Amino acid sequence: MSLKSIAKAELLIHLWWLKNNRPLLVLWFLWPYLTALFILALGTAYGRIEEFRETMGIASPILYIFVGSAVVFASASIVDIATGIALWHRWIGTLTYIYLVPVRFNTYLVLSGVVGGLFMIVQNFAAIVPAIIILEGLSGGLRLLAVLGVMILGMVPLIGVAVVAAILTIAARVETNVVSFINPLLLLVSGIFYPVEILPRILRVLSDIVPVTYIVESAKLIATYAYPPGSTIVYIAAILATMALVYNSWSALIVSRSERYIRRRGTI
Amino acid sequence: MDSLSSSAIAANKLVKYYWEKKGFLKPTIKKVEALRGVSFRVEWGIIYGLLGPNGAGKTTTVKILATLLEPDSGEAFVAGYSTTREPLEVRKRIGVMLSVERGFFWRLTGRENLKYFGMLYGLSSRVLEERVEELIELLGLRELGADKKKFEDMSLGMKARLGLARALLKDPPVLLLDEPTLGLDPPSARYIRRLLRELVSQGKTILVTTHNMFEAETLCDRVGIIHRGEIIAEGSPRELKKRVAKKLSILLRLVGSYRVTEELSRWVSSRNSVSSRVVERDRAIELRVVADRAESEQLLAVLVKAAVDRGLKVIESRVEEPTLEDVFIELTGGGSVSKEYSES
Repeated sequence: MSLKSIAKAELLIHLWWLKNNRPLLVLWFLWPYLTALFILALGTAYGRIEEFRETMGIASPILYIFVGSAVVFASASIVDIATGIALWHRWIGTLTYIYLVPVRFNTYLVLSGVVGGLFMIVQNFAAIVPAIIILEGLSGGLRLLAVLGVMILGMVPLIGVAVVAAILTIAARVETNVVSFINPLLLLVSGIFYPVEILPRILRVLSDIVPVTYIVESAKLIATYAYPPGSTIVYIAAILATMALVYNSWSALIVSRSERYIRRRGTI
Repeated sequence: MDSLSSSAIAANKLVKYYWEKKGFLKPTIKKVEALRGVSFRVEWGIIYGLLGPNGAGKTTTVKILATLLEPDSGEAFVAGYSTTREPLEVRKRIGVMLSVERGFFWRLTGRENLKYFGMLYGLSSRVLEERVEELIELLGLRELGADKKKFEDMSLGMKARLGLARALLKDPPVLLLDEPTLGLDPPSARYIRRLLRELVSQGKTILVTTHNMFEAETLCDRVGIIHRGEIIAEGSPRELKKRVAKKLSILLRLVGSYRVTEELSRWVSSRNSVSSRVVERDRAIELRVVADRAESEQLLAVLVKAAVDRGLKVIESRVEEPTLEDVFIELTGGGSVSKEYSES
């Protein structure tokens, strides 16, 4: 059984789905711009764009806003995507046939979540690249590419959490994406809308253990410096790697127990 | 154990419970026995029919064999592998069809759907292309235009063929099909049955669940009658019919109240100690009574009179040789009176 062929199948299903749903294709390209407008509206609630720049501590508000919209959509959404895909399969009746794929179910969930997450990141970037190049020139486009790398890295610690969320949603037979509440919370504590420093103490603690916070920090660095300080990048990468190790080990433990529970209860 | 694993499919004392929760503020939890020690064996290269009414335990059995569900006790083997200890090995050797209407991506064409599942099941690009084309041809999907049609635009017959095509993607030796002709029009159902016979002649082993007596009788080499979570009889359709060789089947086709016909069925069963069953078929209500040969003619006259007295119109009445349906009626004492038996 080739893991590559499962990943390929997952990629193709997204492409075919878009090909056969043209209105959705248009909408997906509009969403990042709508989110950018939302962040801008929240940011300029302080007053002028200069005040937003000062408050957030960034050099290029335009780049930051677009990068922020990509972060909003992609980085945190792997949890939402993995659960959403599992629920989608259940609703259309394909879940049983997915379960019959001769690999462990959690392997499938990891692959489908990662491919779905990457697809969303790439799709968001494809949507905002033209705007960034027009507004910030080629260097803006290159900086965006750097953020893309950080975002993909930032997705890794959340893979295990995403699989746990997906498998628990199936096990609990809750026919709705109950984890969708996590995304707004993650974004609030990540510092994408307002600086982490002005958040209440409890949210600041939460902010420290959420990978998205470090993605947002990277986005700020890239939007501020032509060449971000190397030590800061190493620090961020080390934190994300530690989070990936800790979160994914715990997740693997929970998932292996949950899979058995699913088969005993027949919740597939 | 060895003999169990040498069969294509073997179920050994399968037990499965469900917990049914009712109520919100003061929930009550009830234990429901879906399977109560189901045992049977399917040899290689035959069609085995698991026959029973809705809720008898057919789908639960198929789900256990397909590794989707673990039994509470007992064990099952498919193609020599344990469904609980070696589920991945079992999955490599089975093709499954659980529902005709669902289970595909609505906005994808038949061909796209098959390619997606083929890739998931690990077929290499070259093999996948060839296999999809082969199956599109074999199941007549091209002829119907179903290969290019989105799943949401397909008729039920096309969906059934597509479901069977998916089950065959890996070219598995064992097929597990849960009511593959349910809801299909007669030509589509006939097509599927003919195809299943062809597949068996090519060496496949097929387990098919059905509540259609005609299907079980004409399609299956062996039949297991499942009732309330237990296999109550097993054998070839001919062997099973021998069980009621000393009986005849009285058939009354009636027009009128279904409820009154049910009452008539209960009356004749209690009065004459016979088994009877009421079903709706071809816009009429059928009352079937299985009785001893010696008394059947007399009982027919009694029944016709009783039906007329109750305001029912008798459009046909006859005595005939018993069918598999009569075996089922005799074994289950009429079973649960169901409107759902349909002949196609």
